[in-house]
Formats: sequence, C-alpha cells, structure tokens
Amino acid sequence: MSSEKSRGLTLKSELRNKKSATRSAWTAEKEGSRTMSMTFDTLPAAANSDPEFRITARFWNSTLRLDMGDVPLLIRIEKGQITEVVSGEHAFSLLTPANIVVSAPAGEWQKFLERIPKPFYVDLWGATAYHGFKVGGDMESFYAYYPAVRRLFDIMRALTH
Amino acid sequence: MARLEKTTGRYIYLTIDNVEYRLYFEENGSGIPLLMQHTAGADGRQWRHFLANERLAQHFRMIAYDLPYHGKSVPPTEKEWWKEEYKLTKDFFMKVPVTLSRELGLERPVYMGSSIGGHLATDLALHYPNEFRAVIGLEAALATPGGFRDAWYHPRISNEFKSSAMFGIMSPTSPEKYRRETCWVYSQGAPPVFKGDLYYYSVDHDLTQTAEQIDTTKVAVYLLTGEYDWASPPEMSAELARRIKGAKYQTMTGLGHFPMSEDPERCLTFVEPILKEIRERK
Repeated sequence: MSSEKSRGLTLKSELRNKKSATRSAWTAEKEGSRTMSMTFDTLPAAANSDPEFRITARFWNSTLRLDMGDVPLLIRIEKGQITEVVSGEHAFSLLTPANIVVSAPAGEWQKFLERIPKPFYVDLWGATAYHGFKVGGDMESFYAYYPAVRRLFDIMRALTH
Repeated sequence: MARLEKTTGRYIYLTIDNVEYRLYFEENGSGIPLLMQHTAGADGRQWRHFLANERLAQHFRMIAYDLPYHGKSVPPTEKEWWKEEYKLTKDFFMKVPVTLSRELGLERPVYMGSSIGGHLATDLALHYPNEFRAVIGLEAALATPGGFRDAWYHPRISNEFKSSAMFGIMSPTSPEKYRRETCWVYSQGAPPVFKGDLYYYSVDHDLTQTAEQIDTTKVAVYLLTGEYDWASPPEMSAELARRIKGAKYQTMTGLGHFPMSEDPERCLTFVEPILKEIRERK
C-alpha cells in the first residue's frame, strides 16, 4: 500500500507540473469516415456519483492508464474516488507510473466504447481475445477491481458521442 | 394471495461410480421429458424462466437439475472430496443426466444444455444415442481449449471477479435485470467449481476427431449459439454442425453465452420451433 501511495504522490507532482498542458478530451480520427469525440472532463463526477462504481471501487487506490493508440488517458483513483483524469500525448511522460495499463489501437477503442458494442467488444476479455486489447500491470489489483473497471467502461460509453 | 409458481423442487439420490449423490432438481409441466443442464460454475436457477413458462409446460415435463457440487446438490457425504481439487470429467458429467433419466423412469427425454451443457449435448449424442430422442446444444463447439486456468480458482482472486467477467459474454441488448441475475448466480458457486467445470469445457470435451461419428438418425442434434458468445463463437458452433451429418444450427442474434437466463423470451424464439419440431416428430 505504501508503494502505491508513493507512486500516487509522484504522479500528482508530475501532473501538477504539466497541468497547463493537460486536458481530458480526446478525438480519435479513425481511418475512414467515422470520427468519434470522447470528452472525459465529466468522468470523475459521473463515476463518483454512480452508485455501482462507488460500491465496486470501495477502498481502491490506483492509477489506471488507458493507451488509446498513441494517446494515453490517465485515471487516478484515491479511496474509491476518481480524483483526476488526464489525457493527451504530451500530458505526461512514458515513465509516468500506472498500476494497471490497458492498451489497444485507437480504432479498436472507438468500437469498444460504442454505446451498444458489437460482438466481442463488450468487455476486456472478448476484446483481448479477438480485438488486440492488452492488459498489464498489477494484475492482482486488476482482478480485485475488475467490477469497478467494467463499470467505468460503461460510464465512459455513456459519455462517448 | 401471493403468486405461487408451479415449479417444484425435490431431491433424489443417484449412485454414480459407486458414490451416492444427493441431487437437487426442479420440475414443471407434463409431456415429453426435457432435461436442462446449467453452465459451468452455476446451477439450475438459470432455467427458472423456462420452468415457469406455461407454453412449454403444456407439452414438456421440464427438469432442471443442479450437478453435484453445484447449487443445492452438496458434495457427497461418503467421499473425502476436500482432499482433491474439484474437477468435472466427461465420463462423470455424462452419467449425471443419464442416471437421472433412468432413475426417474424417463422415456428417451430431450436433453438441452448451455456452455458445458451445450458441449455435453454432443457428447451424449455420441456416447448415449439411445438414451435421448434429441439433444439441443446451446453454445456448443468441437473443442474450446484454453479456459482451464488457475485464475478461475486462486486464493487471491474472488468469486466477484468471476461473476463480473460473465457480463462480457452476454449481449448488451439483453435486459439488464436478467444479466445481473445471471451474474448473481455465478457469484455464488463454490470457489473451486468454475475452474473444475472448465476442465471438461476446455480439456476433456474434444470432438475434433469424433464429431462425424454422431448418428442423427438415432438422436436428433440441434445447435444454437448466441452472436455475443466469444467463448464459443457462432463460427465454432457452425463448424461443429457441419461435421455432424443431419445436425441443425442457427445463430441466435442479440444473445450471448447464457441465452436462457440473460434473455429468456428471446431465447425461446429460437428454442420453441425446435421443441415443436421434436414434438411433431414424436
């Protein structure tokens, strides 16, 4: 727990220094005609007020990093609450620590976050098996908080348009 | 007056391989016997909507049972089961519905199951073709290797994870209340059971060399698979059907790995025509 806290403080410092460069909105230009805009400015409020997320994320301290193609999205959780969401390829360095990392090409994330996902984009298990998603980091924490991660994706889907 | 379902539950003592098991089953309806097998790590509650369906009850005696170690079928008292890790084998799994059918005096019942139960439909058709008039395999495949993993039974990974992971193999269009119920049932399996059941699902069930030997003139074979089932995708079930001469296959659009519990009414739109065909063939 202490090392996790330590990583969290380091991250907090880095993010504070880069504050002017960050914003939690990201637009994915997919090959072809479709463009999806995801705005996650409201993600902390949406998740922290979501009854299911509040239950499943109880006691959770973590940094979740979603690599959407080349663009990372960093979600910091303290005591079960999302305290910060940062995105943008210049928002932080490659060395920014994260407890759990989920990565996939941007176009795959676009399909994953559709409100009604197509087959095998419903959750990370199908997406890792069939659509190039990868999950890494502290897997014990990931398994323990998978219900919260799963709910978080549902909330993100609701914010995606 | 409160609503009272017609479904009733009972216990029967079955002896399999010289061990007595106290098996729980629920039933409703009259007519052609229809045995219904639940998925890995779950129990017969997955069939509660079918059991309560009045249309089905008019023509079928539906029987949904809990496998030993599942639901209300507690482990056998005359065996020191705690000294070995639970593991479901094909041989034992097949003997459960066969023995249940014989002990209840059922006359060539229809067998229907999902996931491990779907796989079992085809194993029963291969090994016990004279015991059943038809088998309906939901989410069945020739083989589904790779699922027998330590993560499914690990001291540091909870049943809540297993339950939550089941969301992803259901259709996002299935009613949320029933998807939640499906996961709730999953959260209640004894810790070693899901992984142990996957031994059959991923290791012991393998029809890659034998599927062609299934004789559908003895036992009719119907296969249905949900389009959102990534564990046993529609293409795998279609391939299985291609290998069994006379088998019939259909993809169930808008459904996933737990069709009978995640959206029972939609599932019935695919199952009822099959049951009607079986009835008319009688």
